Amino acid sequence: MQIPFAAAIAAVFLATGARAATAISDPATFVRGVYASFQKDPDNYTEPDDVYTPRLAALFAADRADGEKGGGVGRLDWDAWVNGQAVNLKDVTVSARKDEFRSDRVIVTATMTNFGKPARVYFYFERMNGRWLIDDIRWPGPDGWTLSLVLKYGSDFLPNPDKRYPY
Amino acid sequence: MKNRYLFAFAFTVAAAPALAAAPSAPSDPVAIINAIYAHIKSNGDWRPKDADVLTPRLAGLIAADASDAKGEVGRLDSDYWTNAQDTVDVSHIKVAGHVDDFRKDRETVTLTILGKDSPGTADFYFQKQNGKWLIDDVRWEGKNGWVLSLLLQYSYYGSDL
Repeated sequence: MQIPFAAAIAAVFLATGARAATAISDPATFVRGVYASFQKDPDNYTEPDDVYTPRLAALFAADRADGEKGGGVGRLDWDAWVNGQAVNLKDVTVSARKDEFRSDRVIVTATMTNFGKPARVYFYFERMNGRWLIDDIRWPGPDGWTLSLVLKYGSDFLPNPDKRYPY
Repeated sequence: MKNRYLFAFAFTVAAAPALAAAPSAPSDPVAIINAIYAHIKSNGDWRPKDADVLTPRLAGLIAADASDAKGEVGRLDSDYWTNAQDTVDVSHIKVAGHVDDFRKDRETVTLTILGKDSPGTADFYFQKQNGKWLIDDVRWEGKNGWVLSLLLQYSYYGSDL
């Protein structure tokens, strides 16, 4: 009797696509694992979406809502983890650095090549209620961007001057 | 009658410093930035109060950084208005605004300080809250650029190398 019940529960999870909440015990290990999954299955893997602080999750939701209201996608129309819409990652390295003053904040740096192009990304983790969560993501460089700013303002690089305000 | 004139004069004199110190009075983000830098130009040490021009979140991050530092220098060890520790000549600037594609209550204002010792270009991210335009983040562009909210929380912001 127990086996059919367990099978039923599993079936519900499979049918709804539900998966257990992501638990991050170590930010660097988590980021390393996500990129390993991208490398293993670049065409199908999607990163978990329950790893963001309430602030960043709300910005994702608001951006989606703004996009839907406009009949399209929001300001973010690419994958923030790979800075693009296609993935071919190699030479991934991951390191971590704690904040100078507080032990509940960590920056994880990942370097990689995507389709042969070198890249670097910073993940800003904050521990909230015992859970490590991502509060922002930043890709540095001339065309770099910061996730929270993209979600709110469209982009944080090369903002197009509005003609209402000539120099 | 004479007393009324005296009262009006006294009120004007008393109110003048407050008005002069209120660059957030302009209702437009570009005008706000122009007014702030006009004040800095005429008085290099003057800065607006954080609470007057920043969102509660950003002002809170500045306060938290100071609290974490316990009287020492915190993560922010430079002036976010000029991207420098020393006085910067802000006599010549160019300012432009860009309204968000989806919402009219968000606008990015880009400021470039011109001159041979220019600290570069900054983006001020404005958000309208309760009818008032406030700065929610600041980013200094370039090779060693930084984002204020990240610097205030994480010390190391990641250079643009």
